[in-house]
Amino acid sequence: MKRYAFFVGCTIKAALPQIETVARKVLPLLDIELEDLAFSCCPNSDFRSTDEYSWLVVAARNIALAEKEGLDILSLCPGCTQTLREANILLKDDESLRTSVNKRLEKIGLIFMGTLEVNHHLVLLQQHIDTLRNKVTTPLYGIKLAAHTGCHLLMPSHIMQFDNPEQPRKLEELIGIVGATPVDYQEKTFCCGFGLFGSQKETASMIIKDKVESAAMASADAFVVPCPSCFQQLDRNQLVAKRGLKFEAQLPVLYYIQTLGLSMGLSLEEVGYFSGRVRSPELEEKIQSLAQKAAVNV
Amino acid sequence: MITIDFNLRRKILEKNEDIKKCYQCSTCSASCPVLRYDPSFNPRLLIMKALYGSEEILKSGELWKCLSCDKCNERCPQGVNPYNVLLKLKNFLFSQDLAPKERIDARELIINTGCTYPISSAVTRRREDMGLTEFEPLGDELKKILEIE
Repeated sequence: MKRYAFFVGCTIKAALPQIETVARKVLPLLDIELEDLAFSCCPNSDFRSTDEYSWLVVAARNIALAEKEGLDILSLCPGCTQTLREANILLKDDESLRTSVNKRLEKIGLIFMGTLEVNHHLVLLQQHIDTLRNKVTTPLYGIKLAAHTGCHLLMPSHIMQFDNPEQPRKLEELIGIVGATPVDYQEKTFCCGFGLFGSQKETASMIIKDKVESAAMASADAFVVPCPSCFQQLDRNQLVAKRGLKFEAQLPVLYYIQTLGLSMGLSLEEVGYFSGRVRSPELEEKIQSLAQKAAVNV
Repeated sequence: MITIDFNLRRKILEKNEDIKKCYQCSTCSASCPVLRYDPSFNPRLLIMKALYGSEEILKSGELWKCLSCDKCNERCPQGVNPYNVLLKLKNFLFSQDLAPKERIDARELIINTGCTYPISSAVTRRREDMGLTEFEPLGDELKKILEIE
């Protein structure tokens, strides 16, 4: 059994706790243990835009906390993964930077050594793809899902090393594992626009409209995302965009790990679906009928 | 008309040597999700203004419209890394007390609480209802390592 330092991230902790709940149910099924440490915000790119050095120092503290326990970091969020992976590389490659940052960490009894790996949980799921396949008891046959990998899990590609940013396939492969059908759609690799929602609602809303309409045109039942920012943008903010721009198409959003939970026999309630703002009675009905069929077959 | 400010140009180039390699091909602009909807944000023009040392780049507020999606870095054929250039320019603005208030507030929230969201009683209650642990307060750890009194 491998232990990981579990990096939940601020957005999931504070705004989408249902994702944390389902992750804590599903991830241990892969024979891993999740360790909670006193992590702070990763910190995010807004923090970096004010001062890169302090961004690096705070990221180094998070990494050093896990290193002290001898653990690799497993993250629920692409943004956190990107920050921590990039900081890890910057500090490993630059001795003078490392020395200077370590002087700061010394003040709280920590040290950055450069011994750990940081990964998003989809990487781990990819590695255990055969185990996952065997755990699927309620395949989501007939459900059409629009994969939205988002930006930060893909780029910078030399740091993230997850998938081809121009033609991502991994999330769709994982959608296949749960028995659902990934649909191709025009705006698949387009950014969700979350970063603009606070300051430029109209631009952000137009991005949402184009994404939702193009996925709906491809007959998707829902979006699937691996990122809490994309989740919020396509879920809660979709309703705001609809009010502002008056468009008809509407799609609920699932975190990939929620679809995994559903395929392993958890109910919509248990995977936190009802905490989402956009609901789809059609999707709910389809999933409930699949669950009933699976129960009969057992 | 753009006026060249050689002092500012020198200052910008000190930290962004790579922008000299920009041949204005516009790959960044063609890839930018913001520009697709908002023509007032144009990464190619921002890089050009940086090369000119144009004061406009620091005053207009355009820099803060970047979504930080990283697409321009990924596709730039010259390794200019437009996203990182904008980051450094924003860092410069922050150091001069010229960053937007919401960025400064967001930064302070993280330094004071360790979290990018305010930890309200509603959040605490919701987590409790879901059987999740409480937020662990970080105390003044971040202040210590950032040498903030």
